[in-house]
Amino acid sequence: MRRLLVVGGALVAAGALLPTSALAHGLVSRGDLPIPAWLFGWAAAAVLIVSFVALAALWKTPQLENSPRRPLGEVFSRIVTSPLTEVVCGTLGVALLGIAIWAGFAGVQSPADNVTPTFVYVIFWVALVPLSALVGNVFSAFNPWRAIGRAFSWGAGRAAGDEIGGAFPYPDWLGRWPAAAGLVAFAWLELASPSGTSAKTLAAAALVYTSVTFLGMGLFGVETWIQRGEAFSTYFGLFARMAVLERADDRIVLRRPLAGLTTLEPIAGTVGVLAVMIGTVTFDGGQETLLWNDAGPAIADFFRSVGAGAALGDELSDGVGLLTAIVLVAAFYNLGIAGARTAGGSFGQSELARLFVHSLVPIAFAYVLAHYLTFLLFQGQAMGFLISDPLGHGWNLFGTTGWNIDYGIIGGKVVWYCQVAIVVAGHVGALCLAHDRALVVYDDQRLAVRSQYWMLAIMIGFTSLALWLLSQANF
Amino acid sequence: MKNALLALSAIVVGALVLAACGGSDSGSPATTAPPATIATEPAATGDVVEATLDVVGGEPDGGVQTIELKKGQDVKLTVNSDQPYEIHLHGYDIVKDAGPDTPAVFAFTADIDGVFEIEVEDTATQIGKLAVNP
Repeated sequence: MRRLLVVGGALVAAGALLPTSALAHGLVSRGDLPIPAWLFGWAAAAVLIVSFVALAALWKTPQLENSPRRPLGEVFSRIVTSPLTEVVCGTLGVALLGIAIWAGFAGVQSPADNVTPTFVYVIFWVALVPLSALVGNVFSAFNPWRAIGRAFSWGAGRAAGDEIGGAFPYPDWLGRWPAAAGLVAFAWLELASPSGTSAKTLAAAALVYTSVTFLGMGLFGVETWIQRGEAFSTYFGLFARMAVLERADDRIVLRRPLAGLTTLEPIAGTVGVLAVMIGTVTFDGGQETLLWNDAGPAIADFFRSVGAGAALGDELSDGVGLLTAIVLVAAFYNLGIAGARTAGGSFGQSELARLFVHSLVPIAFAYVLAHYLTFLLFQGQAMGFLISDPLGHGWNLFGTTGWNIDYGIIGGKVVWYCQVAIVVAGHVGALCLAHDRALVVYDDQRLAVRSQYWMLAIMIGFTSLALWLLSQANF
Repeated sequence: MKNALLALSAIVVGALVLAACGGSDSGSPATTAPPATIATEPAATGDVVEATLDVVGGEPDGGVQTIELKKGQDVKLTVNSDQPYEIHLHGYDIVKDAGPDTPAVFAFTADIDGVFEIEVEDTATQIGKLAVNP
């Protein structure tokens, strides 16, 4: 029997207006199934139990703040931190950036057949996140802009016989705001721009970003700009603080998991960066919900009614959604902080917000990893054949052109369990960091506990949102 | 300490109740009916699930629709189009031609779970989703 069930109504019309919303990447061939209700319930229960057990049973003296570091073997340290290693890694980073830009301009433009979109969105943007959290700040070594900047200032320094710094001192108020802005721009390109998966657009964007970074490094000095203003160093650097490996001068040291986050300097814009990190994933997941199915086209219609074209209307509507998600995340965090202030202590709003912002990093990590897990596992495999034919011209450089993506490597149920485990683990990490910090900031133990009810509310809020988004996938 | 333990057990019980509710509550988010779903059931003849998508002018007739399946089911998906197009079922990576006279017929076993895009390859327009549940 042949069955065709056409369901009428507004939702269908809404769906027709958003033909590419759910799979906007142009790279996602296998989307996630929504987490079923029973698993959602168990996950939420686990979060609550974990939270309150933590409140009752957590340590009484700080375990992460000022925790000990243990140096690793000297030979290993020397090899990893040697100038030769830095030059090799830096050169590799510059080469990869060059290849991405070249392939973007010279190759075919269909996103799946050109190496650049997969390299940028999967290997760079997603794969580096778990890698950083696992083994530390790898991006710092391969960062092409830092490598060029350092080579340039080394050469110029030798020519001038003096150390070359930035032309201006870095203003305190600027803080990490340039990084936040850079991350918003990248997210806009990925999630809102209709040409975000086009190889040419990505290559052009990389050129623009390279110019901006050179300008920043020239104005304020290479290391200063890399550490504060450069978006990707900031992004991967935050996740790298979760890792047990750390570079201290020319030694590699072992530290407790998450302990690196306690030394994060909460300069201006740090809360902004975290809001962007959580907000962008929230919007990416939120695009697949019924809520956005209704709201998105309505906002797009508004922009069309004031003169925007069809494509621009869609882009602006997605952009509004993206910015709204970021603002809501920031507002929710600040609301919780305002609550924590009522518990006592004499902290100002932004002071307290900065004091606890490092505890949001494991949550941001859980958002990214849970949301992009299958994207990474499946589309990541595409690199296997794309390296043999980076331009899509039918080459077979390494003999791997015939490879395919195996969608059977991980089953749908295992994906669900992994996603839930990641989200709950991120929640636990955040709780531990916030608890540890509270023991340090509040002299009074009772104040510390009372302030933590509010922090707990923030964490549970973000974690529930993450679970809800996973349960709404692909509507 | 006793109070804390009491409160803790109350919360654990509450959480378990929540979990149980989550499991049985049909109104919870994950089970809300998505828009435009083609409900498929094993057909009377054999166990082949049949579904049809109509493409008019290169666009999905009635919007992007989701075809829901259970993993392991045999599927026969027919795509009608009033113009000649190449239709691509992602993930399973099957490409078939559809035209005014001959529909594209995809016959396969749904042995990979997940949500897969069905698109008009020539224009990269999504015309449907195949949702294979574990």
